[in-house]
Amino acid sequence: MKSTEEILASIAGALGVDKSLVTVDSKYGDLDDWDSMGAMNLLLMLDKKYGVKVDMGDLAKINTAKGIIDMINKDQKN
Amino acid sequence: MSLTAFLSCVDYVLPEKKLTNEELCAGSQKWTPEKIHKKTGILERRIAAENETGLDLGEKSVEKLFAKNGIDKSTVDCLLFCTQTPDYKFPPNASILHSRLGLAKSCAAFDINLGCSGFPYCLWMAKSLILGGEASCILIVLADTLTKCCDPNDMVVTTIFGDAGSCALVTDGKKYGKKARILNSVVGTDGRGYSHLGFYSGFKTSQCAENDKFMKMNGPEVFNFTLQNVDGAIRESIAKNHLDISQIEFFFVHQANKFILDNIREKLQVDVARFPSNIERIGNTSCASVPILLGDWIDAGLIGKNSYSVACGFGVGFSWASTLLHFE
Repeated sequence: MKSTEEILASIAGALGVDKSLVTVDSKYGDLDDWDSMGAMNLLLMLDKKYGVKVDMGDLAKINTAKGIIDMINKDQKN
Repeated sequence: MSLTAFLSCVDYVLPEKKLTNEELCAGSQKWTPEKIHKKTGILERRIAAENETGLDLGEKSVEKLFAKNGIDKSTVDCLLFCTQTPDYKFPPNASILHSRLGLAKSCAAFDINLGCSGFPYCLWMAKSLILGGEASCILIVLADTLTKCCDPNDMVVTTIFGDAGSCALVTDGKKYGKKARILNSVVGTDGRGYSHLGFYSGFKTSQCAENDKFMKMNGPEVFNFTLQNVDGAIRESIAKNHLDISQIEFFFVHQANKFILDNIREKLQVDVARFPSNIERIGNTSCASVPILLGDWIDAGLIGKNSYSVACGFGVGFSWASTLLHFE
């Protein structure tokens, strides 16, 4: 299991924002940099850093920080 | 005697009008020229004139190709016109161009409704016709005016796309030059992606709405599709031809946007010098993208003798294709 703190830092890194701006409740649209480009950077982060591949149709799950945390930890468990 | 298919020649034309990032951003508070360049890798793109269509651009590219290479139009026995922006829903662009060029009545002519994967798909199709003995001199025309489909208020698409017309001649090698032998291809489709990139106006009237007069693109879904499929398809096509990635001189990949291109290149672990790009000056020109890039590299004498290159396209559908070319 990856820690919530580590994943939030990864999200902030992918979005190019200070990690203090990203919390478990953060979601798409909350930050200027969490737009469609930000979503693509998150996909890249998930693939490169955690080896997580997001299925077509599951992209909505990565529109929230909580969704990303759940996805990473579920994938790591498998 | 076994037949072989060759790419004999390739050419293209660009519309005259340029649209710069500065012009696109005029009056915008949210977008700057630097922001566009950073997100897309594009500085300017070409825009077709108001009454200029992909058919017109395609025709001009063919006239250029025929003149430069001494092509006798009576020898063309098949015309494939790849476009998503035809003049009409029907008849196909190919029929109209057939008439404008004065091609033989025995020449087959039809459209292929594909976008950014169009060029390698057309090579695959043309090679199949030649190896099947059904054609010997195939004119492929690839042209789109996607800027006419872009919502001016949607900067995600307006910043990316540009217009162009291109063409190539694929032959059995008997009459015209044998620039490159067309080797085996990998083609693929994931039809689940149909709703993420398209222009949803047609005969499905119950779902046509006023706002279906522009193309729509779900950027993250398109990127995710490329992330999961494109580098794998390229590797598979190389292996299918019993080659290794180290033997590939150049990767001519559809110029979608810089973010996607950089990602594909990094996943392939290929250095920049082997990954040509011209997106900065013309943007994403849909099916014309790869032939324009290939044409530039051929004309500049940059492709070595006895070398292998990849031609890869991906996009609407979702669809993808990767073809190997052997420059002899």
